[in-house]
Amino acid sequence: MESGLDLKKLMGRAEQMDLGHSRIRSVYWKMYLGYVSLEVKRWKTELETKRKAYEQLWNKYKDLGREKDDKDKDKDEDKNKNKNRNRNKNKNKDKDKELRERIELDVERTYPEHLFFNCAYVQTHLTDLLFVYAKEHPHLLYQQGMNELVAILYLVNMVQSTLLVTPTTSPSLWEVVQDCRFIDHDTYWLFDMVMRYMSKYYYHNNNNNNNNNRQSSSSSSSSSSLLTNLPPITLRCQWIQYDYLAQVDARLCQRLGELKIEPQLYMLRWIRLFFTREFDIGDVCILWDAIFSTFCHHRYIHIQNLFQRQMPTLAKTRTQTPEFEMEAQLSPFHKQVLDQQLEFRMVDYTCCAMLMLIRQQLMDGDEQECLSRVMRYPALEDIRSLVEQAHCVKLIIEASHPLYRSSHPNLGLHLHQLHTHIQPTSVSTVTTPTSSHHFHRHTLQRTHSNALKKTHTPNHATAATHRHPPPPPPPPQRSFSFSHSRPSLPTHPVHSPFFVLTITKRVTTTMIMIIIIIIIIIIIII
Amino acid sequence: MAEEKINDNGYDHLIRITLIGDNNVGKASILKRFARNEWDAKPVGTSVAELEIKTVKVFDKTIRLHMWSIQKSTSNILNSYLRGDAIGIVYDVTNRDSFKNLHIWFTEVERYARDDAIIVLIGNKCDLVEDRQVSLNEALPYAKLHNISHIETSAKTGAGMIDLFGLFLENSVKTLQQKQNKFKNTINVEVEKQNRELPSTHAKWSCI
Repeated sequence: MESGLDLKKLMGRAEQMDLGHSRIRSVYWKMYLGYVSLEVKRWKTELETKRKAYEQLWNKYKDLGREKDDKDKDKDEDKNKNKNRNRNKNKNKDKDKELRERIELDVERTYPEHLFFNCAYVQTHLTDLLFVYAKEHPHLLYQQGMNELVAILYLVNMVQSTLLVTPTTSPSLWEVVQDCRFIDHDTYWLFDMVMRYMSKYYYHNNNNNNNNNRQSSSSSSSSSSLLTNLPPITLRCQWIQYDYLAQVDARLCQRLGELKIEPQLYMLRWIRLFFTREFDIGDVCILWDAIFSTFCHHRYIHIQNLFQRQMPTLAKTRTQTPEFEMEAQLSPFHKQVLDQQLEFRMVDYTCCAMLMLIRQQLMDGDEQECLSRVMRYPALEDIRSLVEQAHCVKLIIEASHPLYRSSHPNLGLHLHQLHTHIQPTSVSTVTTPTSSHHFHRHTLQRTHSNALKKTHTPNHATAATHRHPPPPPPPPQRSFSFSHSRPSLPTHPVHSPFFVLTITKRVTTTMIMIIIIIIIIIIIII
Repeated sequence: MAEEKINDNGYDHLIRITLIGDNNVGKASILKRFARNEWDAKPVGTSVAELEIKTVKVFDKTIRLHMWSIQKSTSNILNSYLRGDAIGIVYDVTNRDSFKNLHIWFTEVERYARDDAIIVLIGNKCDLVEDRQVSLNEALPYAKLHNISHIETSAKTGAGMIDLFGLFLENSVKTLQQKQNKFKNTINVEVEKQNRELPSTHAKWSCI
């Protein structure tokens, strides 16, 4: 219990958008996605079982779809793969081989401009990962777009892995979590976690195809039935544009409707690929921090909720039960419900935020300009402005959500301000008073430095405080300007000590001048 | 109201061209070559859909082209984009499978496309002579069977580009102007070569 990590602190870390500097982004992602629980004590065993599970999968599938080079199992996996890589192409095409080739083709086309992904070693590993996933999920197989998700996860895991120079009998937790021998394993499970909630947005193709085939054979009424039977991805896109966006910016929503731009046309890519095509890899990682941390937050809200439903008798003592214990105690049924309920909601909010950032162009431009604007999203000066905007959208939308609203204390107070601030946003200027973020920011500054260190420093306070989050101090009435183009004016100059200082300076100089003049006048008179 | 607004923006007609076909046959490359005269040896795979926009002049009419290349797995969702004015079904002459899969695309087109849409069968990568797996002798009868035009192109060298888009334009404009019957089968267009230098053969129109 004492080793449990505080959820709020984890969240705060991502909201500050500085995971990139921390060098333990991969650890955070592992926690956010639920690959490891919040209880650090359990990490070693959790990781061990998961990694063993992947090892088994790998052994099961590694020889499929390629020529066998050597039969004896090498303990060192990497060596094994290297040998297998020089497989020669056989002419007999079985399904596995075809699948493998299909994946290879796309992996080769993943970030061709990045040296990292050009390297044959990385490409083989990505192909292996996708191949194992496809074999494990025969209904989904491999779909275009997965390669990009897996590539980013792999990159983050790879860059932040640690090499054990001298294999010790008792490696530190740090070394275990980021062990470079298990990059594949960790990446696979992270990817599996992401796909658990995203797969339905890839699935529909197969289902739809089957439907279409059946329909085409029977009658020509396919188009009418298609309308009623929309795939989930289309529904989600439309939901974002016609509901979420309407909530935060009704006029922009109306404008997009007038332009007759179908949301799924551009948003499909944003959602499926988690914006990997729209921004640089570094920016994408920052964006993913926000997506995953929000997901983690939602996940534990749902867990709490389901736990209450599952054991209403324990509801009273709920306040004493930490999240990871609730999670462990969930029944298999409720775990399934949890999977059903969860979504990467931050993706939706980011979509809205992206549209709002190019609001001016969308409002002023003609159909063609708007189309090319959303199809080729302009490069942002600073990805942080987008993330902040997305957090704003999140606050507004979740205010009406029965579960999530309780997680934003004092929300009603700021909603009005948010609305007034969020409406007149243009492309380069985003003003976002996000009080709760500042709250995290200030209170968590000291404690977040290294989550792993907490294993050694028992922290009673964290587990207890977080169920009863102290009401945040009255929100600082500050608005942040993220634009580089706009001169940053202090919006509330009175609060700024520097400004007061300059005022007093000015006043004193004028006073001195006046005094001098008076003295001179007196002298003259005399 | 919307129509007027479009006309104010400096073009007379909007033509939507959609390219479909298997993965890695070069749909996006064809569009890129035509729209921007660029070619990538290692293109990033199309995700969902790509859009290229180009304005051309045919006679005194300014025509704006919205050219879409649509990824294989998303054609179901984006079927409204098959309702454009012209559809190109692309296969790779060095890949027999992509030719075999053409029937899938034909059923898609038959189901969703407009009756008056111009459909063209495009064999891409014709510059790779040595790797060719699908010969013209195979492709031509196939196109004839479905009663559509056939063109071989190469996004790498730019061969066939002018023919292809000339065909699209000619026919689209013809359909658009059918009521006025202004256009005859052969379009004599003034040559106004500007910055682009695509290897051209017979159809002539200028790029803006």
